[in-house]
Amino acid sequence: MQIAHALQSTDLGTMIRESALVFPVLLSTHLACIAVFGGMILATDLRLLGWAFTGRPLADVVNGLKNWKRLGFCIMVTMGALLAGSEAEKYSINPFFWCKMTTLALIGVHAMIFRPRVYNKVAEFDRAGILPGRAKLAGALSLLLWFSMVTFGRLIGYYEPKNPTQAQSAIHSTFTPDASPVNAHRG
Amino acid sequence: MMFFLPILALLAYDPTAYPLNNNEWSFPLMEIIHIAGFALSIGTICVVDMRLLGVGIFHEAPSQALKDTAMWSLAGLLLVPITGFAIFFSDPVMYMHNQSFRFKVAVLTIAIVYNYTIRRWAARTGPSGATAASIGAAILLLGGLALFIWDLHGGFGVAGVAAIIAGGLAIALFPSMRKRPEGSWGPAHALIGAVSVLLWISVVFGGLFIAFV
Repeated sequence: MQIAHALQSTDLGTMIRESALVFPVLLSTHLACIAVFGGMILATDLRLLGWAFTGRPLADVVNGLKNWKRLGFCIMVTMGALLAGSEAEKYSINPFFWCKMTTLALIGVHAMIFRPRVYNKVAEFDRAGILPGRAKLAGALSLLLWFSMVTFGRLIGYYEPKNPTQAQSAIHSTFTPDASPVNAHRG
Repeated sequence: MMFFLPILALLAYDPTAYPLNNNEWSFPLMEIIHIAGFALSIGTICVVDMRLLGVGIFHEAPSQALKDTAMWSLAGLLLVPITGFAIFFSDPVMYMHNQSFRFKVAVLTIAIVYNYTIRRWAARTGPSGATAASIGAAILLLGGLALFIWDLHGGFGVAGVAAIIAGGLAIALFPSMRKRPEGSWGPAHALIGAVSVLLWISVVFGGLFIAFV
């Protein structure tokens, strides 16, 4: 909690939290990245599952979208880190935030496992003309992980601490002082 | 939007009896599906838009990218209004007075019209769809003007300006687009793709700002 307090008390954290415009703009950019680049991840996953873009070689879809997905991921994580850092105390007691972080770590594990086994071998799969089971598994797990990420991300806004001390901390770091718990997260 | 109020009053609509307001998880669940619908539609639409921008996501013509993504974009675009209406009726009066919500609804409509007329024509090769694109541009210009006059300083007005720019730009690009050889790509395609990306990002920003306005 002390680390969280120190993090959100930095000049940058305070500026983001107290600005009427910076926080919503960062949040909107974070979500826009999820929509645009998340859609590209979805396109790759659907191709790996053999449900869409089946007329295109696997390598075209996977390699063609790779750099854009990486760019989107970097912007998304940067925005997310700025948002989380600006309200670190509130997020540090939120179980959905930690679920989201765990999912993010699992996405990293997914990449480590499947990059050498699937994503770096798509040209071989195209040449062989078969879509192996591990490629479908990679697509299905990726879909599941990213949907969980969106789900936990949205649920962060609905967590209300039951412990009074935690509640006090959360109230202090609420981004809109006059917003009700329900309406503050509607969109 | 205000014409909804007397209709709701006439129906004696009571949001407290609405299922989404009486279950802890139904509202968040609806929002998650709403966001997933947006990710599905905007993501697949942007795959084509980026191809129009010439950044070459696929080694294929924009028309092929459009064909490959059309079904998924449509599925997402069907999810968005269905879940959107469900969310809207949880607190219609609040939403109707929210300028960001007005902007989001208007710019979403503009983006859909643009998507299925002007952008579709740009992504396809040959003369097919030119009439639909002309009608789309006319709808955007006239509709945008109406929105602007109706709600000069509000969310509809801002969305109206976006519609006028999108429609006007399309009309300005029509002569060069009509002369294009089969399967060609040029700056006009890139501009149409860029406007589409901007419109969809505006929808996301409008949706997020609902909570802050």
